[in-house]
Amino acid sequence: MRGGLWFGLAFALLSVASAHAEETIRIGTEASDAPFEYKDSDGTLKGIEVEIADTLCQRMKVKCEWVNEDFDSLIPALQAHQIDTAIAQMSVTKDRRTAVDFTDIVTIGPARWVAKVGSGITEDPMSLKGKTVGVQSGTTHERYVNERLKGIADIRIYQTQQEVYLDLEAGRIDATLGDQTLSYDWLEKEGKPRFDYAGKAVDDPDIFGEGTAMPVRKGDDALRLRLNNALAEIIADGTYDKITKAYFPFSLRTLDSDVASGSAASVAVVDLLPWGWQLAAGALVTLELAFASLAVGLVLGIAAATAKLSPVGWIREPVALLTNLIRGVPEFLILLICFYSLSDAVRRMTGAAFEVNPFVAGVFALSIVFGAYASEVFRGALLGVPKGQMEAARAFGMRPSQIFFRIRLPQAWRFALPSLGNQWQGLVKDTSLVSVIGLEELMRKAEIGAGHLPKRQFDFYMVAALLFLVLWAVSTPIFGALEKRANRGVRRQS
Amino acid sequence: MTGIGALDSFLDGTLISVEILVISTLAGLILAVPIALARVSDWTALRIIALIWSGFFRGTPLLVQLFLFYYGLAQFDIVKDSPFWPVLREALPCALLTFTLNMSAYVAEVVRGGILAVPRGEREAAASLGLGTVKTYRLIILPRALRLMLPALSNEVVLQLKATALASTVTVLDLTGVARRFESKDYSTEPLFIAGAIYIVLTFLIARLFRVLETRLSIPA
Amino acid sequence: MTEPASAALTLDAIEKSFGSHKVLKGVSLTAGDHEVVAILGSSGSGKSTMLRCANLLETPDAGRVLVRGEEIRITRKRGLSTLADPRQVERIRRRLAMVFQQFNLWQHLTVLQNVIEAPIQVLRVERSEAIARAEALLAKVGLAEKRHSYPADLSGGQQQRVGIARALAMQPDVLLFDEPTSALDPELVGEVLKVMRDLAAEGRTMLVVTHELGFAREVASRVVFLHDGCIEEDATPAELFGGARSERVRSFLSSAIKQ
Repeated sequence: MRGGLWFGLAFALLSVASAHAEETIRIGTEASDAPFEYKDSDGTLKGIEVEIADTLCQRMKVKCEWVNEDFDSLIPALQAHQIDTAIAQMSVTKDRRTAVDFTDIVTIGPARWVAKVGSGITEDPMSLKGKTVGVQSGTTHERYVNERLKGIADIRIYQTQQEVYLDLEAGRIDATLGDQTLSYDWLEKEGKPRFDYAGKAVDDPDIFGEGTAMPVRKGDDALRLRLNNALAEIIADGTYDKITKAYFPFSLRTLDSDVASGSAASVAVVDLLPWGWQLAAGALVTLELAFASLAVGLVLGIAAATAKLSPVGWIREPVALLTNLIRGVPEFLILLICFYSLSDAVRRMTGAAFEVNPFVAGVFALSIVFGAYASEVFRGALLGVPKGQMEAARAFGMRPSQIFFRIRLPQAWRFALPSLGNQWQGLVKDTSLVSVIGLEELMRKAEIGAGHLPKRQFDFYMVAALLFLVLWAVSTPIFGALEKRANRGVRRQS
Repeated sequence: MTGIGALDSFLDGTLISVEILVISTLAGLILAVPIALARVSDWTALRIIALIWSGFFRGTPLLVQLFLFYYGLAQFDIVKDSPFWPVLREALPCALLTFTLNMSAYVAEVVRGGILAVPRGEREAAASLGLGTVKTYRLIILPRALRLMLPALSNEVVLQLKATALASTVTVLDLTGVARRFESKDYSTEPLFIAGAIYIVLTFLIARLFRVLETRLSIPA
Repeated sequence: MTEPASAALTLDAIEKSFGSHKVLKGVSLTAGDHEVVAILGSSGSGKSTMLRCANLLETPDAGRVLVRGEEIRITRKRGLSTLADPRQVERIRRRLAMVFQQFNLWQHLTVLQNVIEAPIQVLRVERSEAIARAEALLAKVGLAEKRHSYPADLSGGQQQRVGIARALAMQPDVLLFDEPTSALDPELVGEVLKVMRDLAAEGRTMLVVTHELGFAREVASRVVFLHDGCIEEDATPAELFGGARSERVRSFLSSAIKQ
């Protein structure tokens, strides 16, 4: 039993260590917007902005570390010191300027509607009356539809732009508002001829700002100036145009709405097999996450159970209350709370920059949930050990800690294991939640794959589901074996 | 996050969460009975089908199931041309469907447990009195099982309430969805905590409701 | 009677209540080296409680407990008695070993592990030495071949004999027996009593709470009769069984003998 605990802890520490490899500049992005930033089938980061940023780093003579996040997590991540800057087609807006500082404009991408050909939708808000529109969460487009289309159109919010396109194709939404340059790629690959741009670019500088740029933390002038200098350099010497012209036949720094569909480099067609390895890699992360959370959760559960059995009121009652509260809130919400507020709180308390990455946030959240439920299990199990066992140990002069760890706890496992087995299965499934904050475990890998290969969503999710089933199926006999071992020396009452 | 407008949104979100909970629980309960009966049936084929159903919905994450039904099914043209499409295309009904099927598997286990817990003697008494299988189930076993199931059922309903939080991942604006919307707008975690508090209150109410049910339905000893 | 100063164990005017029920109303007992003291009495008389006060499983509300002349420090505050010095308690408990009515063998450990556990954890004996000692003791109680079995695989009599071996492994000054045969089927009682007789013959100091009158009469050097929290008689077996002074004792003996 104890061996397994150390194993899990080691996993956790290793992952934390590897995820925390200190690089010079951490750049955040959301790698699901081809061709600006995306991942291909073997997981490598590619795209216009990836190339631009890598070039900037070269010019600045620093090392780049890329961090993949959900778009709406980028600014919080920046503020939480998880990343130093970001490049993700982020529009410079007044609102955002209150939270971060921006470099000079990197690209100008007008906002434009995409809809079914012949829909009659234009950039005029009234043409969307009674229609259903979809946008990506956290973008200026979301803000635009919320403010300008309120009461006019039915609004749907999505995690990623890929999901928006899926629902556009499925007919669940009539139109989507997005960056003209981003939609270009999808239209060329998928959308045409059924879908196309609808109307001209939407002119609303208040919301859409002057273009996209890279955000830095407020006051981080040093980095901002270095980036600006490098950017000016690559624009002046033609490197910028060289990069972008490989993808688009037009300039990314003008407001030209007439985009000729031309000979843009198309993203290579991928086949399914390399994705199999991706899913396997994701499954490995899932297991790491699950074991780490199990290890920490068990320790928390035993500690909390001991507290709940304490004769000391001011230890017992708060812990009991806390575990009850935790069990009343959805794990999903706990995860979100942990992710967004953990680093915040510690930073405020200690003044030092505290770094949380999705894996750590995931372990934190999943283990408190596991621990809260496990505390009830252990409480019952510890009570189930016959009093005489502890009494004999007392009589022989063993100390309270010896009695607990050598006599009471070993016998309590026998009672705890069945329930813990159920909890473990729940834990493995709950790891999928951490995909929402960007951790590349099994579910996230499936999402990426599904986004990349549009007619294959069902397959990806089905395979992911089956892999989870395999994990479930493999866990059951292991727990059966553990139960057998814990029950040695107990004769069944015949 | 301004006062009244925010309150309004939270209320709407809470109502949607409760709506999902109630509908998926009731529909799930109705579905669960035949599944449970199949699980304890003497026909191997039925047992296996029910086992696969149960294993799939209980053994895979709810998030994957939601994505499968929402995005996955939309991939197929047969689905889009079918009469079911108008239902499946809306996020809320599609999510409801997934939650219902998921719930049915879990509740089936509870019902099965309840059926197995009915004392053998009472079953034998019914058989010896000549009540056929159907009548035995309808008049004796299921009513008894219902009372035995109530504690476990209350547990499942609380778990289901927490599961509804996942609806926000497929664009449904439930309580969690509303909270996330506010969070992404203002970059503050406050709305998440408020949502958490509301869930705690709801959990408390559900537990209370079931305790009342248990007292009302209990047979005075 | 040996002088109290160097006596193995002394209980002086012990009182103990559980809630409102006063179980011990002032009992005094001295056990010298090599004495075998049998403690008799009807149920509820407080026999077990008195024994448990000796090794401090219960803390007396009034009175003193002395082991080899060392007094146990007890703080009495607001009606609550607590053992003042945990280190002293540990030290004392090493000198007294108990055999329980319900055996209380540690279920998750084998017989051998049961016997070596306390010596290793409490006395800090080397593992190899503890094992050697344990095997010798198990041989002595006739259970050497069961040393890798689990308690659940043994009969009651066998388990109790292991319990005795476990107590002996601590090399205690005094052995405390709390109704060691009461939980046993009649045919298994004999094997345990035999071991106890052998121990007495070796000259061990033993305090035995028991219903076995035969043992009391033949093996004990002294018999104490407890009734309703008080010591009614404290005499040699000959005196007690020959012609007890107390009416209660006589009626107890006669009703017990009739069975």
